[in-house]
Amino acid sequence: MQPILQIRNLTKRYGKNKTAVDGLSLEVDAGDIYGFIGQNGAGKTTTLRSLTGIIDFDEGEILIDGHSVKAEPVLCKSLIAYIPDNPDLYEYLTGIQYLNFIGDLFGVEKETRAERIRKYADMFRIAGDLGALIGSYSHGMKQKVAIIGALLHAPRLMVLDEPFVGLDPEAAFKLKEVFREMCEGGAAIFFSTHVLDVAEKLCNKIAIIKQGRLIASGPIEEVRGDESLESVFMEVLESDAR
Amino acid sequence: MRAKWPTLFKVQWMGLTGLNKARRSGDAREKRRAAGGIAAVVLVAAVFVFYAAMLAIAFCRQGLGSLLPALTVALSSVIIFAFTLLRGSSMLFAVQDYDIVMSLPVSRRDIVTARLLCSYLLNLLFVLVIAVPVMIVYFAMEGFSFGVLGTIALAVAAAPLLPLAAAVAVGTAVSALTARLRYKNLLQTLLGVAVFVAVMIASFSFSFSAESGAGADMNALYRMLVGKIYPPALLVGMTLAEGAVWGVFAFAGISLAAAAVLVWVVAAFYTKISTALLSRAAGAAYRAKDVRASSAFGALVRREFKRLFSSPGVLLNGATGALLLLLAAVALLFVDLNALFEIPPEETGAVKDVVAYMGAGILITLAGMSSPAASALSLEGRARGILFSLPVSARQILLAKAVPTAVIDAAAGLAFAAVLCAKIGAGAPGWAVLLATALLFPLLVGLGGSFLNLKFPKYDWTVETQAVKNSIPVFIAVFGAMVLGIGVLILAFFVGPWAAVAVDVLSVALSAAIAAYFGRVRLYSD
Repeated sequence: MQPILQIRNLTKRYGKNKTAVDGLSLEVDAGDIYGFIGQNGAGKTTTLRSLTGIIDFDEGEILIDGHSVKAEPVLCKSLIAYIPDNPDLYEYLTGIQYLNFIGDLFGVEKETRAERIRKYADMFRIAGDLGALIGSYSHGMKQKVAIIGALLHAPRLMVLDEPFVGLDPEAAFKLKEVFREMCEGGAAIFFSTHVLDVAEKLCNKIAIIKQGRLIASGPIEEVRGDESLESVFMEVLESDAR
Repeated sequence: MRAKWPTLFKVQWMGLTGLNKARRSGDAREKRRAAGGIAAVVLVAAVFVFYAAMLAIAFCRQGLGSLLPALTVALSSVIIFAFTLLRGSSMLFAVQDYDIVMSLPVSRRDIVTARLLCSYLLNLLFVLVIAVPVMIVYFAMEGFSFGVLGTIALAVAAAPLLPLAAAVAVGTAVSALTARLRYKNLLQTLLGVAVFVAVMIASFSFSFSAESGAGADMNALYRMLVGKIYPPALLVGMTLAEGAVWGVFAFAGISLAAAAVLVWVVAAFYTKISTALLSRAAGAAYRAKDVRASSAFGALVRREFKRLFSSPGVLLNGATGALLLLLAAVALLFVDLNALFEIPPEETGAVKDVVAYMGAGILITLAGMSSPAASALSLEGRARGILFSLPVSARQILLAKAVPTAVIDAAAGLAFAAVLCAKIGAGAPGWAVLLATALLFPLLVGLGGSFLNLKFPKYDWTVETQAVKNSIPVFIAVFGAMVLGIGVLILAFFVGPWAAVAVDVLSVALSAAIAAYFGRVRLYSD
């Protein structure tokens, strides 16, 4: 079966001297919850922004469900949902106005949209606040609205940058449930995180990136072997220090 | 598939106007702010309507009424071009909602179209404020016909497109050429300033050359002026004066084609330019040096200066008036003012002083155009909590935000005042009034700008220029000073120095009151 996400030899440079991502290749299959871990500045966010078509990249190819991000950007984006680490939502809109905006752009039918908003707003306990301006929300509430917006069109691939930052424990638990539910339905999740515990417990596959290069990737059992993910990760970092 | 730019445009327009926020907010302060902002906009628009109507009446009485439509289109186009240049390409690139929008299934063409449409509508509103009163006067004094109305309506609707497209194209080219360079902000600012100055110099030289070339025939003079400053406007004049209907359609077609080409070209390079502009790789390796320590207030002031020079959009909009004052000072060095104002050599200082008092009006107008203080608080944006949590008083923060404005306006104002007074040979009263205005009015612009921004903050901007150009405090500062300055300029003929002196006294009184008021202010993030 064709992977939902294929990254082939992705290279992204900033200027002449800084290579943020260097020849990175990986594949995410339907049903995968794929964790992407690395230090600050390792190239995680650059990779995520490249695959969502937000930034241009220098070399390589990215395919979403077999479609090239460069050749068919709008089609690819309609299959993805992206949540940045600090969702900079439109503060002058109410929560429901924002969700309708997203629904309009993804072409989500009115009835389906209403049903999904109700379902996820209740799930994340934010239904009563959707009429308020986003500017009045806490960081966690903004994160929840961004998540609901991302789920509105039932994406094939959900791309998240540090999704659990700012979420209360209940919302974090619910989000993990949603991830599992989506993957059972044939979608895939690709997210970056610094929380190794989360990656270890939630993901079936992980990739470790260091200084733009992929150090390890694959099923989590293979990557960590008999050790904990934390130990493996620390070994990767120390190998750099030596 | 349905075009998605209308949806994008709607949301961006809601952010630009701020009306949705006022309507949906449960906060009474927010509604009061919106009401105050609308009142200020209406007031300033009313002043413009008045000026435009008066000028139109004067033109018609001199038998120049037939030139009004083309002249209105030409002048508003030049103003739109110059002011859009000041924004550079910031309306398209380096926008805060870039990540959200680019991750959505919309084409780059839709994104560019929606962003340009916002700018077009704002500029169209500006053109309408000028054109509607002019046309009412025109129809009242020159006679009404539906054909002329249709021609003018089409010309006015199309008028902002070409100057907007040309200015955005220049801004985009500058951004694209400098995007990968290390000092791109500085270069973009310098190039922006250079283009702006070139436009201003070209406009002035065109008007002088038109004046010298047309002799006493005012009709020919203004037709030449229209042709020099904005040739496409002659097409509108052809339709109205010669009945050549194709003229206005050609004007609309050229304008629309320019906008369409811009959208098409910019969309093709949108991701590449945005990526390059938004890329911030770590800079050169830091080498430890002696740390510099200063007082808390000194640190705040230094930070405000750094913020002013941090991006081309902020600097270009914040320092335009000061820059024009400096340019005027340099230009005055090469102009014989006594000959220009036809002042005989034997004339006394008192007459020459009137020129200095008029100069105070110009100084007030231009200093008001440079009020970075009016947006300095808004620029804190979503990160304002960091500043408000520091162990400094609100007064220190607000005073620090006023300092760059007062300093750059006073420096440029003093240069202008000194050159003007020296060249005209002003007497002691002329020197005293103009130097006092150069020192005192910038103080009011700084503190007043800071005060207005405190009352009408705009923290939810997605593009810096929404705060530094299109916000209510900047609007009040710029146009309030313009009204005051033009008033002083005109009153100089009738009351001599007293209008400027009144502004100086008002500056001192209001500055003291505002500084005292800042002591009672508390800054909160909500």
